[in-house]
Amino acid sequence: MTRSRMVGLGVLAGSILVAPALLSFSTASELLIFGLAAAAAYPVIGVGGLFSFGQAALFGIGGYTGGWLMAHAALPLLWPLLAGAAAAGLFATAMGAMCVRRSSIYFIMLTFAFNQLVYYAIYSWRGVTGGQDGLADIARPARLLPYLPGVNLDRPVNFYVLVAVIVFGCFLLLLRIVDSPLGRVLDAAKQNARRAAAIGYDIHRAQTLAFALSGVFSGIAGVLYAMLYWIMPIDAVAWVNSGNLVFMVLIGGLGSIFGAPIGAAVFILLQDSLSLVWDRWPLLFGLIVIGVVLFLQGGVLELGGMLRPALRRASGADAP
Amino acid sequence: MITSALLGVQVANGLAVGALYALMAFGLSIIKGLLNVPNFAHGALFLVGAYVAWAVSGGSGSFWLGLLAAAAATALLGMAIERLLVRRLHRGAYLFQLLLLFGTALVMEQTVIAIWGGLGRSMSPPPWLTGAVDLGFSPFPRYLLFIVVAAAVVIAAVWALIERTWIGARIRAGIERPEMAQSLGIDVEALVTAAFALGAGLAGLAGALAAPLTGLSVTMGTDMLAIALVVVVLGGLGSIYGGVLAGLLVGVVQSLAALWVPQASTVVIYAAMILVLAVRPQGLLGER
Amino acid sequence: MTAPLLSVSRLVMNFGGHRAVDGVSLDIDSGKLVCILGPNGAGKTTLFNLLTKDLRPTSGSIRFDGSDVTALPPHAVARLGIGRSYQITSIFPAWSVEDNVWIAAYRHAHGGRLVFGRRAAFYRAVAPRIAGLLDLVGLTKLRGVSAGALSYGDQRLLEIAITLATGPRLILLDEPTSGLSQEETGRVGGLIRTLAASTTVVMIEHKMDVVMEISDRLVVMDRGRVIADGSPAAVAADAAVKAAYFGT
Ligand SMILES: Nc1ncnc2c1ncn2[C@@H]1O[C@H](COP(=O)(O)OP(=O)(O)OP(=O)(O)O)[C@@H](O)[C@H]1O
Ligand SMILES: [Mg+2]
Repeated sequence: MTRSRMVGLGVLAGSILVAPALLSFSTASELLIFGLAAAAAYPVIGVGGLFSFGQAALFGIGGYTGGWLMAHAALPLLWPLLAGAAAAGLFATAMGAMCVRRSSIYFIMLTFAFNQLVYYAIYSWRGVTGGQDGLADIARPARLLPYLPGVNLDRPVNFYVLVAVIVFGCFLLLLRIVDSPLGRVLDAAKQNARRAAAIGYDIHRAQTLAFALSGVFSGIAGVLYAMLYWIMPIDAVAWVNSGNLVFMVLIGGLGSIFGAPIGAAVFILLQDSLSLVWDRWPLLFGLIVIGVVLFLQGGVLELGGMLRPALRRASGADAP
Repeated sequence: MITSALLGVQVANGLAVGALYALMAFGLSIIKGLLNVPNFAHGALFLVGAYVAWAVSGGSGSFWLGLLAAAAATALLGMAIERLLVRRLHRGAYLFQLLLLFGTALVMEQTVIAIWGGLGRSMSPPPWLTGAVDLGFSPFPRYLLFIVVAAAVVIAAVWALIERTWIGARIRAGIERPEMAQSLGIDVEALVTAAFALGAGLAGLAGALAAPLTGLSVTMGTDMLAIALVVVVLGGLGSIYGGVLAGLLVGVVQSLAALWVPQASTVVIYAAMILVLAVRPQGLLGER
Repeated sequence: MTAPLLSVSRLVMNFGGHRAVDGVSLDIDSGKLVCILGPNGAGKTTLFNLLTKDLRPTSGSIRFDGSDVTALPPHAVARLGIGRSYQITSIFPAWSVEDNVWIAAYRHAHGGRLVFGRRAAFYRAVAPRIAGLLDLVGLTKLRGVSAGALSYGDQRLLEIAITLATGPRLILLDEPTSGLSQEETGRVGGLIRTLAASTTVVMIEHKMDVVMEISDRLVVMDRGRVIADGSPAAVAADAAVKAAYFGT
């Protein structure tokens, strides 16, 4: 593991520990959950350069699947979590297999169409999903694993610890994936697909696999989200949420997976503070999106990189 | 009981809605052709068109003025978006262009809500367009017929503009062979602006036409955008006109599906689209 | 008499109405260095694209090492052992020289498996091979440099190293010396001769001095067809070649 990775993980762990001191447990949990959803999008969007606008569908399928189980059966958390991850992973595999063969612009439109398919399916299937009102009455499980003693997840601090452990664990796995041969092949295909194929890589398979993995982790994030407010809102599946996830990856910085949680944090905090200022906060948010795209394409991580030499110079000038 | 009259009305309804999809897809394809990016702000332009038409026709009492104002306002908006924002990005920087348009769409939608409020509105067609014409086997509501005819006239006019005029030849050259167009001294930049304005104007017009049909709501743009993108994909790779055909088809299929599975008619079209693409990846009129 | 390594029969490629490759049949024997030449637009690159499956032939068939590869996708023929360089340099510009070669060497060593449980850095076993290849093309000193920042000549050399790292049994080189200086051309020529000692090389080349000096066999294409095929001396004397190629 390289030094910068260690530093990054240290900062992430530190932030997870400190967050509850600065924010409410629920805001801090939400921030981590979206951090995971954005990090799950990273192998596809950041490493693979595949601009998926279907991430909200994966998040939503996980949330609705896990949420439905939790609303209807008193199972240990393990099962809804696995079910959500599996459902989203399977859907992502099918979606990936159909989309990755398309050129970039059709790829974008197709992932978007898949997102809408899921949205309207959930919207129409009222009896199961609650339709427009969202899936309500989700109960946080009383046990994490079968045969183990129970935990009261309704206590905010317990829930936060659970979310933190799962999100951090998933993040480690995602980091592994990004650094793995699969990650390298995705990056190679992004840079030069023809060359990657000519040296013998099945790039469509690699990209489909990336989608599948992205689905699994998005699904896990979705299940956690379903528990957060005891309800799975249909807005979580709307395409705007896909756009938001892409934006989180981007605002954090496309160059590193560590940008994803940063982007999610910036997004959630921005949303929370803007919504206090003005009912029409999405307008301000839209302006911020435009500003970032026009002036800060490298995201927050690049901003940090730009500031670092300046800071060093400043501190160097202070030294005798 | 599904009678032939009911079937007829549903088909009429499907054709009208399909004509709106066709207008939207047509505009999207023109923009996509020159900019190679799906215009994520297309739904917001549709929304703006609807509200402008409602406000202007309500204020002036003239339905026609409303239509005109909607098309003009959105065309201008499109021009501004392209000139002031999209142009600043590198061509081919998809993700950034998409997010830029995404942000622009948010701003437009929220501005509409800020000005006119978040509640739905209704708008009635002018008196001479109420009622129905009897086609013998089934009645065809006048306003639906008007939408179909208006869309057909506009699409034919734009078709003539693109296929038969000097400007159109340039637009086509810009779409098909951008490098060559550039080397022939065609001002591609100006073409892109023109195409964006044209596409945006079509979206605004579609919104204005839709307003009396579906009523106005702040989510109408997002819903429309989603379907219009599907229609373009269905229409086919690199085919401007495939979207027109696909639009009508989707409208009719959706409308008929509503007879049998009223809640899930929208799901049906997305599922159908994915099915069609699995069988025919290049879309209806696309070339391989 | 052994079977040819590569056997192409009646290969045709149409682009719309234009026939870029028009019924080419060729047998390439193991261990030979074959040069393909011909005027611009003769269909040479298109022929390569057909061999590596970057394009699907309109008709005809391709056999490699005894099996029919006509319907395989590009990565599959690459795994069977056909490696190539492109006329327009094709590398991974964002990576270091070393990483460019690593991705190819890893594929060769691990058969293109998409492992995601382990870090790429774990697969260090290919390091000596990478070092050897960089040494062979003379890029050892530049191994840490970003490939996109290399000079044009060095990029072409890097592409050859990438191609070699996949362990090909048939190497297709599309104008490997184009745009190179006299000195670089000499280096690449020497390199190709070294390669030809152990593998089979087919290269498209315009520089007659290079061609005449190093090849075992010349194939001349014009307007999608093979118009001459034989030893360098015999082909150089061919009247049809003179007409097509030298315009006399
Ligand atoms: N993808 C393609 N689509 C359409 N036409 C093509 C395509 N690729 C090549 N051609 C045409 O096929 C013909 C042969 O091209 P090719 O690149 O094979 O020639 P070449 O012999 O390699 O020439 P050069 O010496 O210039 O590299 C040319 O007329 C070219 O324009
Ligand atoms: Mg060539």
